[in-house]
Amino acid sequence: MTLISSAPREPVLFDAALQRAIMFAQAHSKVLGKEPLLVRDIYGRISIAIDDREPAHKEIRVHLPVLAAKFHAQLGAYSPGESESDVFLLASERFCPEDLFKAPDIFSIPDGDGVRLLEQQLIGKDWQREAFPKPTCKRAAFYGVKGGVGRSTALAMLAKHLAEKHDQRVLVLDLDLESPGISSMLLPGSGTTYLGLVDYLVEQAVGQGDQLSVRRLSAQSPLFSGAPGWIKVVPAHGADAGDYLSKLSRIYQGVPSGPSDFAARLNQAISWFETQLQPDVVLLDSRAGLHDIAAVTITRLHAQTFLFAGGTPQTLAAYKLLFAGLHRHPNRVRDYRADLQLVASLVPETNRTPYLQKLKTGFYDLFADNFYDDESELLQAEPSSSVTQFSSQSIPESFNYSQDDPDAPHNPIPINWYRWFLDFDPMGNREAWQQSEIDAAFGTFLTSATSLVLKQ
Amino acid sequence: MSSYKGLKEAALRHFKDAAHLDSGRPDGEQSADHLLGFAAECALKALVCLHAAKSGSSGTTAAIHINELWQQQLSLLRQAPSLSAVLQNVPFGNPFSDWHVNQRYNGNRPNMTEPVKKHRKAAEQLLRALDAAELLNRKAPQ
Repeated sequence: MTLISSAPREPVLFDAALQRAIMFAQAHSKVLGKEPLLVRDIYGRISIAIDDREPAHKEIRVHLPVLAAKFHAQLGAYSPGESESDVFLLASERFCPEDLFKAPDIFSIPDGDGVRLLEQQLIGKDWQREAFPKPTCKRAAFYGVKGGVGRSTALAMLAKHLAEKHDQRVLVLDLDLESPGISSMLLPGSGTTYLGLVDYLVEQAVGQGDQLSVRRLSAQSPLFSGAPGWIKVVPAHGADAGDYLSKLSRIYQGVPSGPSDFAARLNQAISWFETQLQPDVVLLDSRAGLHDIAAVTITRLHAQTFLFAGGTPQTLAAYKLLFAGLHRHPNRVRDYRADLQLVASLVPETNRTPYLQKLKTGFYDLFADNFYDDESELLQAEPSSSVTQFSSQSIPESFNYSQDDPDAPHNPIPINWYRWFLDFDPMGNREAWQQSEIDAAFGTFLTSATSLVLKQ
Repeated sequence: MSSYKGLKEAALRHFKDAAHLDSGRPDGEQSADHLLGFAAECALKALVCLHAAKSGSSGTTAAIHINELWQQQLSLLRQAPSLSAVLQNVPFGNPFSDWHVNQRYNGNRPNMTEPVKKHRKAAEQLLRALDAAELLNRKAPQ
């Protein structure tokens, strides 16, 4: 007697499931349409949306049971089921089909040959949406994909430089809500505020954010006490943080009859502080890592964004993940890519030139792959009708830099590390600062960053 | 208890009939208002079904109408992260506090335009939340 054993099938995993769904949609485009819409639920299961209200689609329902079974067989655990009603989302069975078929978050999958995707996530979608209206003041964001790279210190130094040397009224907002820090640096001791940004966001949810007094939420930093410039700080929380974690866990969703998502809440909060305090420049200390706050800050707030990076392979790998995620929405990338600028933080005391060259080379590839235009594609994109009436205006503007272009966003602005950095506190023992040391460490950064921020 | 599918179909049917009454005849508002209460009730009970399928709770709400159901169920549903997300456009206050199932025995009531407008908006918000909940988790109960 022979035992016939069949080897267990390899499970279909998350990324492979989407590829299979794309191929399925392409293969059945006669039934599903030229631009099929896939919907991926919070667990990654994929459905296919069909607008069966159109007369041309009335006849396709007869094909759906067979297609559903095939789809289920190909996607395994990432198919919502094997029946027609599991796999297909029909417009005729929905209360408001436009909420699905005209959802603002639908995007064409890169290299998907017209297949579109609508992601269903509880968090993490805000950053894909359109930017908010441009503010009247200038904004700059400080971001590091990894923490501990001197981001907040650089922010404090730039705030002082802008206030002292350029008479700017500088507002610093601590957006590192999960790991607040900048305010303790700029508002030491008893100088802090009664309340913080998280308190505003919590009160905003119940409709009374604007009733708070801005004087309870902000304080002037003694880092610069001259005039007409100033530095004011909105910390993440006040002197008495209260039940901070309970408040923090309630800010990442939209508000009924108010801002529709976290990004809108954050933008409204920042705009409110700008209206109340009338700064010239707002510096946002964004939290590190791949997080909603960071993504929203980069993509929707019209901020000149400084991307802090050390020279480790882990840093490059983490930025690769971030940039690849941003690249999935190429139409949005065009809105903010010119606002990005790499900063080489903590450049070591020795071998600085090869260190910076290595960083530049690594980031050139990342910027070229994800943000720079492919000029051959741009030329192909020109309409043929423009050939006879060729003018400089008809050439699409290219966003592209050579690897060694000194003005390129991938070309890092250095902040030089010195041994005295270990004890450096912008607020502490300021008499001991040697201006020449400060210039050697931050000089290039302060000059370049000021130029980028003020030219907005 | 009714099935999820049945409740959803009933919600859509009641709303469609209410919209028909509300759009065609000046004297249709009062009956439209009555149906809007049931549309909202069925939509909310369908959301309870979705939640019960995941939480394992009984989801028993059979004998309660929308004027009480709103406060009783929505605060519970908002505690579930996925439902909290889809309910973010549904108001906290109860728009159906002035609606009662026994109003069907009433004679003709004047000034129904504003109540109908308020109840229609609230029913729409619940039905759209139901649409959104189905997208978030495709394993909807039958």
